[in-house]
Amino acid sequence: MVSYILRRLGAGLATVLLMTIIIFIIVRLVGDPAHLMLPPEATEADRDLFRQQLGTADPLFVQYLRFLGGLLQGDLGTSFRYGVPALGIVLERLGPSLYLTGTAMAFAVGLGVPLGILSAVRPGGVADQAGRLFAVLGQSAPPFFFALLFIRFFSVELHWLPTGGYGGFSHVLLPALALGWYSAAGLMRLTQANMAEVMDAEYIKMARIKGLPERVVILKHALSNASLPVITFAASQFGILLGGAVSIEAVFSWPGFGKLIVDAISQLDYTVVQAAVVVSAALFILINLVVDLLYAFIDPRIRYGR
Amino acid sequence: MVADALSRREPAVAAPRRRISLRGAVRRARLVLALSILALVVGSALLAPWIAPFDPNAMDLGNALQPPSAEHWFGTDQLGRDVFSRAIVGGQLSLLIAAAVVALAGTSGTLLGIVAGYRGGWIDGIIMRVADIQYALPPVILAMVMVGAIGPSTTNIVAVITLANWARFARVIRAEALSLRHRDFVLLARLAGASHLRIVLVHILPNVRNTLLVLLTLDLGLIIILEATLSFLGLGIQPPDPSWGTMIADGRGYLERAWWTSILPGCVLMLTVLAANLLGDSLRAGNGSEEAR
Amino acid sequence: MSEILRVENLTTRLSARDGSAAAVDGVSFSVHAGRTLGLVGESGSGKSLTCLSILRLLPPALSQAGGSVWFKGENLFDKSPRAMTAIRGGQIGMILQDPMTSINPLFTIGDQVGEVFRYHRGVSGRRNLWARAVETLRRVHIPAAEERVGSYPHQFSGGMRQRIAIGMNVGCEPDLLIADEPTTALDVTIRLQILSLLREIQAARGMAMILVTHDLHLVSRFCDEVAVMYGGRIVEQGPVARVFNDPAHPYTKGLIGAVPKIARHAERLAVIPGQPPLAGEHGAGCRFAPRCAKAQPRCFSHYPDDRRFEDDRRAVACWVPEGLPS
Repeated sequence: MVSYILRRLGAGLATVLLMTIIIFIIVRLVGDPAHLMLPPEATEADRDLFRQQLGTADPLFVQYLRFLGGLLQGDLGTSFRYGVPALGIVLERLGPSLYLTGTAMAFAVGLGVPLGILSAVRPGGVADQAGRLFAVLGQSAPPFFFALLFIRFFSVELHWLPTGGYGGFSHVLLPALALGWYSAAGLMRLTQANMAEVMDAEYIKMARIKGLPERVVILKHALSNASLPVITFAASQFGILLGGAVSIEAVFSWPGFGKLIVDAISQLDYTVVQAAVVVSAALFILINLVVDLLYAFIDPRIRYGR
Repeated sequence: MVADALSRREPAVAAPRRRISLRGAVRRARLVLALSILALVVGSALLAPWIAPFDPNAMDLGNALQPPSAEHWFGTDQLGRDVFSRAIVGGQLSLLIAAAVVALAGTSGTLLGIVAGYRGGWIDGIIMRVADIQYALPPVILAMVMVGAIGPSTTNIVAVITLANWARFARVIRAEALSLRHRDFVLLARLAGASHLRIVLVHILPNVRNTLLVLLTLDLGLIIILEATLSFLGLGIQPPDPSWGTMIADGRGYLERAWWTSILPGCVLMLTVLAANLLGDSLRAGNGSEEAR
Repeated sequence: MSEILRVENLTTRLSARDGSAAAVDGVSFSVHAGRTLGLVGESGSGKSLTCLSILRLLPPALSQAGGSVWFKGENLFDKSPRAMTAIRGGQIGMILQDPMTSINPLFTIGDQVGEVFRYHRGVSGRRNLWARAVETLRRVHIPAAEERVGSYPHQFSGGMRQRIAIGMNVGCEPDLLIADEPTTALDVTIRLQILSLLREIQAARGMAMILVTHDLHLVSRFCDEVAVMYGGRIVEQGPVARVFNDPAHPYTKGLIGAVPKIARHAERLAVIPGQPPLAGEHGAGCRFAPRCAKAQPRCFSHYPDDRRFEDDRRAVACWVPEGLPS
């Protein structure tokens, strides 16, 4: 059990380490901040001095080691642009993004999983047909397009909900729905496929033979066995949602993480881009760890190291 | 064991034939629908220079933001350009990029997946760790950072989206190759002294073809969406060239006064992706019944 | 000797849009308290479907087309779904072939044995449920039941798992236990242990039992009555000794003739030339006629009615039976 978690954690850390190297190199291809941030009339000597201050004059691997050293102490460098710790800027913007993606995820799971179950339990029924339509539509357009459709309909036509801005439930509802639909569709299809497969299992037949109520057969015996791939898929959707949030944040003027990255890229703010990537990678490790723990919690064969 | 062999023939498994053929008819109808939509979109994109009623970049400020009419089917945008013409010309670049990415990501992902699955060992370890990065970082963010680095030319966009998408192919194909590796015909070929290259080309590749075909069609939609997202964020196709993503972005400010400038190009995009997904689903369903044996 | 179960003219169909094929066709038999009926036949002869029909648990592709199942004097086909849920596991238990797949891998055996008491006996509270589970596990001879009640299925061997599955199904003292090839998936050495466990439980409370099998040797050792199925029909039934000593139907005769003297080869059934028919792929006549050496023209055109022997405890469906005083 412990070795299982450690092994999974190790693989996650290796991935993140590899990712920081790649991002570190890519970010340095973007351009030289000494050109962008100093006035055009600055001399080459001025630029060299500036580079030394930023630390971009050293060889790449020295910079990388310095970056890793800082990373271990929780220091992700100072924003070139704002002169404050990059980590602080990133974390400040992460909150609204997590609020948005979290709500979108809740919507995706809350709608996708029950629809998938219904569709598997009564193939060809109303829920099945509606669910399939829901899934097909959800996977056929980018979230920002749904966002525009929703705004046009619910905000412009019906005046039910605000067209944008950061705030409580009424503000987060439309962006979360637009963002979560794609994932809800995937979750619905996966839940449906897994449930349909599990419903044919012998232990489900046995659960019915034992005279358990159908609700116990489906929600306890079938759903638990169908849940493992669904959980993995849901976790992988956090990345998709975080990516989709970039455009959704733009549409709804949501002060999140995505806009920060877009701005930091265009301003050549290396440290902020790096910090953003490291933070989202850390989030990735965390989510995967939760998934692994959930796996072990649900499946005793993993818990007992088999 | 006798019992095992016999119990597989329990009649409970024998599904009624008529229903299968009915389901088959529905599936065929869906396939035809998907193919016709794709043919329509691809055809009009290819023939855009001849069938577009207006020059997609011709401005007519006196005629801006006109609603859909007999002359301008999709209305006009804020610069008086014909939205319909721009939508079909925009399809050109979007589809070209999507096709290029699907081809490149499909080829590289398949090759890496086969190598990883067939050879195993440390090569497999490295390829899969690199592929994991794609899960650790959303493709949109990865693509954004990379486009930011190398600039948004069409070639760069293709390269970036390919880099952000090969891993899905690699993962699935690797799993297939892994299972094929231990199949009798591969082992026999190896005993007969066939080279690894020959085994991969003659025995592995044809066996992953169906899976690959399904992946390719399903990914087509995904990649169209990803390209549109980049263009929407200003990191993809650059103005004044029309693309579905930039058109939706441009029309965003006119949602109240002139919804058609963003919603109608979006509908074309949606219809295209929908058709690609339906096609992929039909192919997958067809595969499933074949593989059920 | 009271009759626990009487199946009358049971018919089960593969439902298709136009027409349907009978997978189980007019099957009738009865089982008495403390007695065991052996239901014998090749795979696809409809034995398992007959059992699932009794519990009304047919797979979706099949539908109940007719007949009745009288359980302790009441027709199960008239019961509400809720009443059926109470009967399953409470008054009728069933054991499946493969204990490796028939127990949910994600829950403790205590949980899965305890469930029956929760939903049939209204026992509540984890402690009470586990106490009942331990008690049940002891009865099916799981060693150190108190300690193992919290273990998971993968921590048990196949034979132990089949004992646990039996425990789940006899915990509520059912009047009827259906065992669908309960030993086929197990090691030869464990088979007898499982069967003697079933016998022990049966003897303790006079439970009626249906033993579905294709092993004639098992039938001769453990059953009181036998019903031989072929192509969805019962072709011959009666007391085991009489049917085995003096088979009347050519199919039964073929089966028994095909069993070599050495018992361990007894699993082999079909040494009769030809293949058994699939549901719907036979004519109006006797399903066995194409493989029957004694077949006459009418065998192909008309299905023979059951002919009963004088004491009414034996029946055979054949136009040209052997040893029947005509």
